[in-house]
Amino acid sequence: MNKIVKILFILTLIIIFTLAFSKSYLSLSIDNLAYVLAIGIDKSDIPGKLKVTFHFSNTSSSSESGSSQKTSAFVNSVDASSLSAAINLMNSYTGKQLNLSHCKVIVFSEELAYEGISDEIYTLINDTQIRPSSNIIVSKTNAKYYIEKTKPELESLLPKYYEIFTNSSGYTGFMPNATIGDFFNALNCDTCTPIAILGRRRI
Amino acid sequence: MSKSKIGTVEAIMLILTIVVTHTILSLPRDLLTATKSATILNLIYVSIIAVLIAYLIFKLFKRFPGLDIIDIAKSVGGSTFQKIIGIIFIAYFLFSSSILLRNFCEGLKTIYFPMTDITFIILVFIIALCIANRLSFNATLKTNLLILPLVLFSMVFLFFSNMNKFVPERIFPILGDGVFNTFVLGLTNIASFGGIAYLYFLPPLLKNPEKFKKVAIISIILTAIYLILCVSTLLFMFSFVIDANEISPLYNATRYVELGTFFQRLESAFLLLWILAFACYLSIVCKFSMNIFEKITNIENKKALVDVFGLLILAIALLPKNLAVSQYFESSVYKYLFIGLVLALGLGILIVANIAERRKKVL
Repeated sequence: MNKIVKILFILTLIIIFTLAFSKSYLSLSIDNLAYVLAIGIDKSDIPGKLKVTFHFSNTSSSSESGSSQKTSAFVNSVDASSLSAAINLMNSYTGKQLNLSHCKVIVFSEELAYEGISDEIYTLINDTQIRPSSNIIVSKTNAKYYIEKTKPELESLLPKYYEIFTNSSGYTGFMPNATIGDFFNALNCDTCTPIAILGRRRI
Repeated sequence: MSKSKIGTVEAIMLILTIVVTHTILSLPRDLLTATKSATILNLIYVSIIAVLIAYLIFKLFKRFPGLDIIDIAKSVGGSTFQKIIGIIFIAYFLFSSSILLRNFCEGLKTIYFPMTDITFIILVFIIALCIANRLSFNATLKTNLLILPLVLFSMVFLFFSNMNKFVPERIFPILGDGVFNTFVLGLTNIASFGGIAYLYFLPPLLKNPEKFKKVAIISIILTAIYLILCVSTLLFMFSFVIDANEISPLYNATRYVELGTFFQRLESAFLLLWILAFACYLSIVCKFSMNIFEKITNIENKKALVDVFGLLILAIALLPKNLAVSQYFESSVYKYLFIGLVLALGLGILIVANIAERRKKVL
């Protein structure tokens, strides 16, 4: 009898914990997530607002198509008062939850960078999904345009392109491997200057 | 517990476990907030004081071989005083471990289980604690002996793998906010040596009680080295620590570890090790609390207490309304609890007992 009670107790516990943790498992399941590869932040046409552009990777099409074909990706923008609000707004638009853990590039327009981007940097660095190794770019054109025109010709996979595009900093002096982690460090240091990659796209 | 004695290495690891669990949460940030760029210097200074305290504890225990602070409290103030001291130490152990557990689980929730209720995450640890405490204490000690070296190695690995991001100049100004702040106000950083509290209860549990001095001194020195390693990693890497990533500064540092393009996101491995170390810590705390309770109540069947203590830890862990409240307790209240209870009260009892013992001999 004692053994039966013990087994029943263990089974009940397993069921309770399965139910409790399945919510988190489902919310982090690959099918329920929209992976953001790049974020672009511009000044919005609406005063006091930001235009935040998200470059999504279409995970379902890339898994079906294989590595030889190009991955499909699409760009979408929202106007919001802050970066967090923009992420929430985009979450409500798309059927899937935004996941920034594969976001490799954060683009700011030069116009916005002149006015100061520390609020956005703080938001990004305190987001557990954003990697400190994500690259930070200040674009001469607006960030949305920069992201839309990112079409690598020598690399079929867009996430891979974003991953390796700073490699040349190792063998040339034209581009630094400026990451958001280093940028944030320098932003909070009295004797340092934060640096970002200067981005250009032909209009 | 009385049947399962602790070996010298196991005892050293046991003391280290207490500090390890504190460092994986907000302890390094609190140290850096208090003494800024002078933290390493302050830690060296505080470590010397901690070693002296450990030596003092050994000296004060010399007159009472095979006794712990609860037995000594009985000889000082009788049975009632012993009960009060016992309850105070049980409350201290349960309170500090519960708040740490809450903070750790809040971190896990933020990172991996955003949709799971915090109660269930804490419950997993409570169940592990209850199972471990139903087994002999040796099981916990041996597990701890396996896991802790891995955790210590992971910290060394963290230090060396992030070395390319170090800016050694961040150690300047070497005296941080000044001499007074570093050496007087910075004295409160002694609270980072949380393992000292457990030294009071070790003597009757040691396989070789004559090695108590060795255990006390070596564990404090290793704690100091470990703390300096953790703080150096953060101090040299970041110019902020205070502002970013509320989860844990060391977790923040692990996110920078990348070994080529294949070995990225190693923070998961670190978290796994920390989870195991945390389970060991909770088990140790529960064992010590049960041991004290056994002494003050003369209870026969101690195993019945496992669930009660487990539920107590769960209840206290659920008390704070949110992460901000529990972090306030960990960062501010814990420090003063340690100084008041462990240093002032603990050493006070030992000193009074020694004076009384000396008087008895003179008479």
